[in-house]
Amino acid sequence: MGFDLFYLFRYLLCLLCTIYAAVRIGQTLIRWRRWLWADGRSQALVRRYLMAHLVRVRLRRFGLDVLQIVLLVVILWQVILLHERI
Amino acid sequence: MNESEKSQRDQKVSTGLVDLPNDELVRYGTELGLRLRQNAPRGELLRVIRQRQELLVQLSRQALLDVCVWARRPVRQSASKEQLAREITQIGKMDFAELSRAGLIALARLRGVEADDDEPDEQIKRRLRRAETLPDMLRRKRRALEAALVGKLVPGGSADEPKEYRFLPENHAHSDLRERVEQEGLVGGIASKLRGVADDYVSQKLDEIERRIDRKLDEIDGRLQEWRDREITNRLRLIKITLVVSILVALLSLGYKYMDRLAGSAPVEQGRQGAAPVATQD
Repeated sequence: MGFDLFYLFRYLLCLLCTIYAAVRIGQTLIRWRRWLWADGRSQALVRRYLMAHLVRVRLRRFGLDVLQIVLLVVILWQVILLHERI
Repeated sequence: MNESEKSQRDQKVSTGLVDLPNDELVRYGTELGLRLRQNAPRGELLRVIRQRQELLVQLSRQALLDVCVWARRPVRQSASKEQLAREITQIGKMDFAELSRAGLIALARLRGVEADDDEPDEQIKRRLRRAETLPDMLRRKRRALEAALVGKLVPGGSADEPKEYRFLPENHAHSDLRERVEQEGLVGGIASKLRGVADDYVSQKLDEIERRIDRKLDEIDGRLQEWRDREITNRLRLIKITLVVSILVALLSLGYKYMDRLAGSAPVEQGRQGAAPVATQD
């Protein structure tokens, strides 16, 4: 009775997923940084071009997706809060 | 083209305006630097275009050139008033320092702000600032922020001191053969004419090649934009999938907790201690 397999599974899942996501994001950021901030004329051109492209992104085009994400975050937050009330 | 020819042409344009279809009217209005809606009533289009024509007649070309130089728009010194007005309507700059008085009045009138010749500069500037709409102001601020950001991130993105403004080069037509022979002699004149023709041919071909390269670059740019947008959409979709899975796991956990409570078998202290931080994280 002293051991609940589901709670352990939930705890491990959360721990592993968080570590995995953090490591992958960190790796990606480091890789991009190394690639973009390398010395050289071609890299400077790419950097400038990428910056121009980023500036030209029309956020309105992805408005619906962003709204859905915000909605999902709110739902997730509410479900997590419900854990405390039960 | 002298002033009388210009005024005759303007008169022809004015009398022919009534015969033009709506889309042509809108196109012509846009050439005069107006922002017109395609579905605007015909009477309204005619009225606005005539008003703009009258205004352009009143404004001096030098004043319009002053505005273009102040905003550093690429124009030829010989550009017509219509061309200058079209360039000026694209200017959103609100820092009126270094703009001549004639230029300031011309800018104000083209932006639809009243400006009298005997009015103080500050009053006109204040009125211009008040006339700026909120979306225009927000767009201007956003662009200034973007420019500052890009200037910081990209080396050489911001010049320390602005260079002197230079007009675009003029398109000088070649003089005819007779004039050349008169000036340079028979052989020299013919040789010069031939050279001019060859130069024209080469420059025409170069222009054609340049246009092709531009078209290809535009195509590549368009493809890159599509790729960028697809990439952003994919990333957003992945975030959504992650969130949906997280919600499902959270719901499963909630259901388990509820069933657990209903069954009355409270988990042991150790399990709860482990579960508490998890419940707020997954």
